[in-house]
Amino acid sequence: MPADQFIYHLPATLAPREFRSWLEDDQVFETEQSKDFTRIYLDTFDWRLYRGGTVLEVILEKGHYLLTWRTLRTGKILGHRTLKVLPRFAAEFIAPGLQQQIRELIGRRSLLPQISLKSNTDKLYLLDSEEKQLLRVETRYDRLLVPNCTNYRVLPAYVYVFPYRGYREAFDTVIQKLTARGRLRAVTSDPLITAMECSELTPEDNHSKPVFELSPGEPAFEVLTKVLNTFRVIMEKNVHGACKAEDPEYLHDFLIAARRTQCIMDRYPDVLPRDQLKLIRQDFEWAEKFASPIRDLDIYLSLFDEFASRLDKTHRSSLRPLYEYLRNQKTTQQWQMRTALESTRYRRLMEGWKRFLEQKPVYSRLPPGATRPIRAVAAKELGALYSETLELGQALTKEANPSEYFQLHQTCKQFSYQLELFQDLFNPKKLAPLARAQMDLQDNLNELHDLNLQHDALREFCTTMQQEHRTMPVWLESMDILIDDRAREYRKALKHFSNRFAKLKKKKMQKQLQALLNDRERKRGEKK
Amino acid sequence: MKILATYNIKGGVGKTSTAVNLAYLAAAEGYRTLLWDLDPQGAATFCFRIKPKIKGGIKNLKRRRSALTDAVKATDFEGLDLIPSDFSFRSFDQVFSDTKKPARQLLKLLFPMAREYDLLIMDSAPSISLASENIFYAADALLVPLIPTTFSVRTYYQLLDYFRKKPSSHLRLLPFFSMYDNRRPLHRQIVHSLPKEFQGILNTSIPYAKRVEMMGVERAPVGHFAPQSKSGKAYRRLWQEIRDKVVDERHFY
Ligand SMILES: Nc1ncnc2c1ncn2[C@@H]1O[C@H](COP(=O)(O)OP(=O)(O)OP(=O)(O)O)[C@@H](O)[C@H]1O
Ligand SMILES: [Mg+2]
Repeated sequence: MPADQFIYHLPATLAPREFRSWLEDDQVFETEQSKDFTRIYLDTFDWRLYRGGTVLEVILEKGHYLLTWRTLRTGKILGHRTLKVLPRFAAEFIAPGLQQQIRELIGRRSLLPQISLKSNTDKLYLLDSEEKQLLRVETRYDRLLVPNCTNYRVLPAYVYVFPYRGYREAFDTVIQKLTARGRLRAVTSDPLITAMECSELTPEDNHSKPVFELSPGEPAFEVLTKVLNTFRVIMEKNVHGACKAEDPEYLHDFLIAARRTQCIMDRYPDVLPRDQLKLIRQDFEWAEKFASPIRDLDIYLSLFDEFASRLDKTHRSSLRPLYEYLRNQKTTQQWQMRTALESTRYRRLMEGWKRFLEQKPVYSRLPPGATRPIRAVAAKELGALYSETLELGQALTKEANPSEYFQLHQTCKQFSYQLELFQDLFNPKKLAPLARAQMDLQDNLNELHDLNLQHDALREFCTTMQQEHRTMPVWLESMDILIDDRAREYRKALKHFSNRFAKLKKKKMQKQLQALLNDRERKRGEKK
Repeated sequence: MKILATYNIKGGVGKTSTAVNLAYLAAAEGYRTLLWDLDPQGAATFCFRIKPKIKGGIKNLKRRRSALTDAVKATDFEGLDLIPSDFSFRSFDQVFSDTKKPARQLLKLLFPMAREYDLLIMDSAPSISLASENIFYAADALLVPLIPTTFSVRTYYQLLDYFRKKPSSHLRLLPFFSMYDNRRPLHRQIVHSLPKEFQGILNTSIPYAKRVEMMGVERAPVGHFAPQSKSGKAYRRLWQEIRDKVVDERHFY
């Protein structure tokens, strides 16, 4: 196996014959006929491999994909693999070492073909007397495929020298010959970077959280529309990826922005004109209805490693029908969502919404709270959400069923959105204990919610399979194990609830919050 | 790093052919694979056109910690490296018999490389000796090719007997039929009846095939020059079975 890879520029003016003569000098190289290969650089939509300092290159050869993963700076080879299909997730790399390393960088993101090249490649092998390869040299003449167009853009040509472990001498000799008297120059940046520049791609961080710079005295309406407009842009940016199901993260970002939008529309009737926005609000709900179930399915699908770890070998194989069932569901739902989000109704919604957010406010036609300073509005809202959370939490008895936790979960989520949004308006040190307690409770509620959903989804799957007479004893057994397991995990998580809730409810916490939100504090905050 | 070794007391049963082909297939799937040719005759080394020589021989391996790492050679196949055989390995038992824990020396030599590879396959010489004890100590599983003949099965009984006297808790025995010729009634009968007698005989058998013999002429694994042949496919199935059983136990969908 080549231990490292070394890349040199191949000057456009250099004739292939001359290059060969430098190489061959006194050694004999065997040539493989030059061929056109398609070369693809794979990465997540937000370039996690690249940002982790690596390059994942795929060459399509004889119906197989040859993957080479190397470091960006030195070209050192980290792993390689031959595959029949292009991998989309880390789990599809069979070798465990490689799988784990890639997973550390990309998590559950999917890999997309970020750049495609056509490459005319010559392969030259240095052989010994037994015809054993000692080293490989490749010259690559790359052309960039311009999307939606039959044109190519010509990229610089390169020489790759692949040393073989244990044959250092041969490598040194060849490098000597290639670089003697200023012949070839080593590249200073990976060919991927050049290809990126030519395709005008920048590996920006698509997934960063929006940052809002709010000042306490700004009129509430202006602040809220600014925030809503940011969410609108996030939705627009991700809707395409969500429809095409390229990566679960597109849908995730789309959905979070949509939910936060609706939350703000619901929570500030004193600031936003409710009547005027009634239809828009309804349409948001309509759109979210298509997107939410797919997010849930994405979560189940990502849970398979966990499911597998709960089952022994004989039962593990029955995960396959479940996997396929969820995949099929996802395909159906995905299709429905795509139809909805590419419809005229959705387009009109977003156009109308943009118009509303970007128009100049006519304060006489807005509710009275529209001109109040945002800090006062936010303080009132946070106080209200805190009380609501406490009220709902206290009403829960020991026998409360999962649906009763649902209301609390929803309110708590709204609380956390608002806290996150407005935290900068308040003294961060004083807000910290509340934010911490809120987050702990939120985590617990999220977990309960997810486990309950999974539990119900597994049950539903069983019923469907039974109705279709497709069950086998071992499947039912496996499903029983998983359903029990989810129920057990649910009970485990439930044990933490009272503790977490009590923390948020503490008298001290209530007092602190009061102090934080009251007038005295506000004046000091505003003077700053 | 998982360690597999091909082993049989009997010679000429297909140990080397198996080691070479499995190593090739593992590497093609992306496992960083190392093949160690422990047989002084160097048949596996020959298959990869590599010179059967380790600088300083076995004595140097014992003296210098880095000597084994330095001996590694890349094969022509991505992801597959080889430690060549060396004629001095015939005196393995003599060289290591005076060490403190003589049966653990092989594993000790491998420590520096444990992180570099996902899989090590050792091809051994046919015998029971200190060298094979070392292999039993180091390996996670022994791949035992069985020719479906009465003689060959008897040597397997001998091996089982050996492990009954010297039990080894970590080592899994993975016997499988090798050079199976289904035109021969005796082969058919043994392939049919033996799995009922022993549990754990692998499902895949390697057929008797010209292509396997051709490895010595082509000097390459069957998977390289005849991947779609009957034996090429059989080795692939064998690899997958072994992979799912011992190398990577997490496959389920
Ligand atoms: N499935 C097969 N079909 C036909 N010939 C085979 C098969 N497997 C191995 N052979 C041939 O049988 C001979 C012995 O095989 P191999 O070298 O793999 O066995 P071995 O157990 O390693 O032998 P040794 O004990 O000498 O090391 C070789 O000539 C080989 O080409
Ligand atoms: Mg042999």
